[in-house]
Amino acid sequence: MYASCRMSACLVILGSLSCAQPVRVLAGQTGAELYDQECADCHSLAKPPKNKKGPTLVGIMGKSAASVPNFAYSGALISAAIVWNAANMDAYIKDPKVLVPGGGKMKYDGLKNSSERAAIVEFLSQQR
Amino acid sequence: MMPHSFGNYRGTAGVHKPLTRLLHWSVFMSLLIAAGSIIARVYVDGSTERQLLLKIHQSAGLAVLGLTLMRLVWRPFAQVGILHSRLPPALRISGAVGHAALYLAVLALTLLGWLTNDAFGHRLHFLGVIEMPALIGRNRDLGDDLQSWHGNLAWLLLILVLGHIAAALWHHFYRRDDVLRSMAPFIPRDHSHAFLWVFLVILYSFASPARAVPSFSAQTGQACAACHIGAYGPQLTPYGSRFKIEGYTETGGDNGNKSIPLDLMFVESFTRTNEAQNSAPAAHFATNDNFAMDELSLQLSGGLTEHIGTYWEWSYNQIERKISTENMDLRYTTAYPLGGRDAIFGISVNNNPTVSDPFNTLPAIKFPYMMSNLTPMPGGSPLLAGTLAKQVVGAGAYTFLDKSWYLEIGGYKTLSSALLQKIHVDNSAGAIDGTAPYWRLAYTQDYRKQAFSVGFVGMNAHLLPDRLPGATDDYRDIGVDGSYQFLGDRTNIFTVNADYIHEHQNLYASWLASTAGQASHTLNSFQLDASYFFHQSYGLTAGWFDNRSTQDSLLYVPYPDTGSRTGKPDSAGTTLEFDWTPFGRDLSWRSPWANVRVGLQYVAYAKFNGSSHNYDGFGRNAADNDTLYISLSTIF
Repeated sequence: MYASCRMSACLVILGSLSCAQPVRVLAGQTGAELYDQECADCHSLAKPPKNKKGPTLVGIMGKSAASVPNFAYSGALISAAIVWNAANMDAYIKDPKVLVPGGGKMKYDGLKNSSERAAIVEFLSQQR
Repeated sequence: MMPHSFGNYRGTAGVHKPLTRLLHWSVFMSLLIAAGSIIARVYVDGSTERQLLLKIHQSAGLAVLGLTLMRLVWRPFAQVGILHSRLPPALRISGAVGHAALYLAVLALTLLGWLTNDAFGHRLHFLGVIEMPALIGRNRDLGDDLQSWHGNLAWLLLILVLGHIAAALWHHFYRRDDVLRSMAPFIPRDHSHAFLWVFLVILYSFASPARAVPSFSAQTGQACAACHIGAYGPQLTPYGSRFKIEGYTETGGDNGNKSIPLDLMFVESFTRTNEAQNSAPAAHFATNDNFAMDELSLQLSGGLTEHIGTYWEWSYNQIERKISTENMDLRYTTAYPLGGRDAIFGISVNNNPTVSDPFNTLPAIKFPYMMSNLTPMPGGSPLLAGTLAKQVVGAGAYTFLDKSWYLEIGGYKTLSSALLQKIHVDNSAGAIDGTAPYWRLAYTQDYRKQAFSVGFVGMNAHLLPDRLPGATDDYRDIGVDGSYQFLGDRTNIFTVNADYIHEHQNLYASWLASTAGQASHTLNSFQLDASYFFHQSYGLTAGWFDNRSTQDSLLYVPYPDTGSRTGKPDSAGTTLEFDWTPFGRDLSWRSPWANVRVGLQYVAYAKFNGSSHNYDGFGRNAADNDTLYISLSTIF
């Protein structure tokens, strides 16, 4: 009796959990918060520059892609010959695999929300 | 409160409580560091070094202040009066005056240091992480005055400390009483390791950054916080789960796989149960208030090749006093996209069912991640919850499809008695007859802002209790589990984990041997825990557990502390834990090799081995086992 009650209670809880959709952004998050949420696990903004799983993003805007010293880039990103600007950065964050065939090394699924992408790109352009 | 025997203060051993002694000597060591660093600063020229020494001085000073405040809070509970009551009134009065002067001087000195810093308009950080509020505004003239007072008071404190030491030595050598001994840092019976800790901290402060780093972090270039909730293992973030599924092989950063994948981990703890136990929990330990070195372990952890990775731990623990193999997990993985979808395939060879799991909900790796090894533990936990740990070896094939579906199927076999003896593992579970199958199916989603997982797990085993061929005890476990994590921008992290395991037992062999009254039993184990972590530094976790089993008065017999009066192993209760992890984030002090966690845990039992009152048949109540467990752990 006890066992079956517990088991079914668990199933109900877990079932409702699995049906839950991700909570949408309630209030607008700032570019910095979105950066911490989406990018900061792998990309550091430390000074002096530090490479983590991904290269440093200090001063990334306006720079050529795959140009941070000592970082082992994918062949795909090197041969893509990109100079980062607001448009192509937005496209890369939206879906890395579309801008760079195969997506390069960046294991990121992409960010669908355009205003959130814009906030991140704006935040990146401030990181000098 | 348990009756604490102080003995005769003049003659036999009367000692202060362990916490009193720990605080006293921590203040002393912190004062020594504060004094040493500020004196050393005079002899150093480089501005970076001078800056670092000042920071050490300030952090040590803040530690002195905090620890002294803790001493004042603790003092009413320390029962120092019982010791002092043996001394003649004149000595008690002069002692009280001397100690009051010491407390006042320490408080005034540290506060003046703080005010000096504020008056010069600098920010003050404790251990480079926690910003202290400014007590007063910037005022350089006032700062000069405060600084000279700070210096003068330091000399006064030195005189008081020397007087304090002289008095202690006078008590010891001239009056020949137990005053000095009562505050001794090491009491032979409890093998206190507090000092080893202080030395490790000093080592951290002065060691060169070129030393070994926690291997996973060095290999990937990632901060601890990328993979671990609260910046300290083992609770995993979705990123950490994936790293584990990929077989610990991922590389990155500037070091990229060039570091030596060896780590040293050290855990020191203090355990106090509500009432002392009837007998000491292990040789060389007391019945209560035990300091212990829970673990000193070496870990081979990291990617060995592009496809092979390992997490393998050997540890020495002071409780069992031997070196043994702990968790072992050796993996081969490969990524092989299926129809444009992400797919990882792997094999894990390990020595503990559920240790291979990438979520935080199954017994080998779930809350509480650390517990005291010196308290009575209730019986009646399912096979999956560590019964076979370290005594078996198993292989499981797993796949992670579309970053969502996790499927693992494997089997375990018992290691031979001879081998278990060699690696110092007790064979408490008997031998598995044949192979014990293990399976796991889970679904997970990582939205970066939040993540969840739900799953099922199962295992069957036929155990030969005495390792001899014949009848077996059969176990069939099935479990359901789920987890939710809110990660956001990683400032406020909230997690919930739940698991429920149902076990059916057919204890035919035990029934034949008359150690079980009946063969058929069921056992249900439930746990729910929720945690909140602030700034990946401060964590608060509350857990609720409830284990129930069918009754059997041959299987569960009365015995002091660990037995059952009712023939049931049922237990229920709450676990509360506060964790503080000062380092481990991206820009942490001495990142990534300074890793320390301080844990404060309290387990409260509503029910223990079947009942709340007189559960063991010898008058012990469940609440008598309520446990305070303070731990300090470090890995480097």
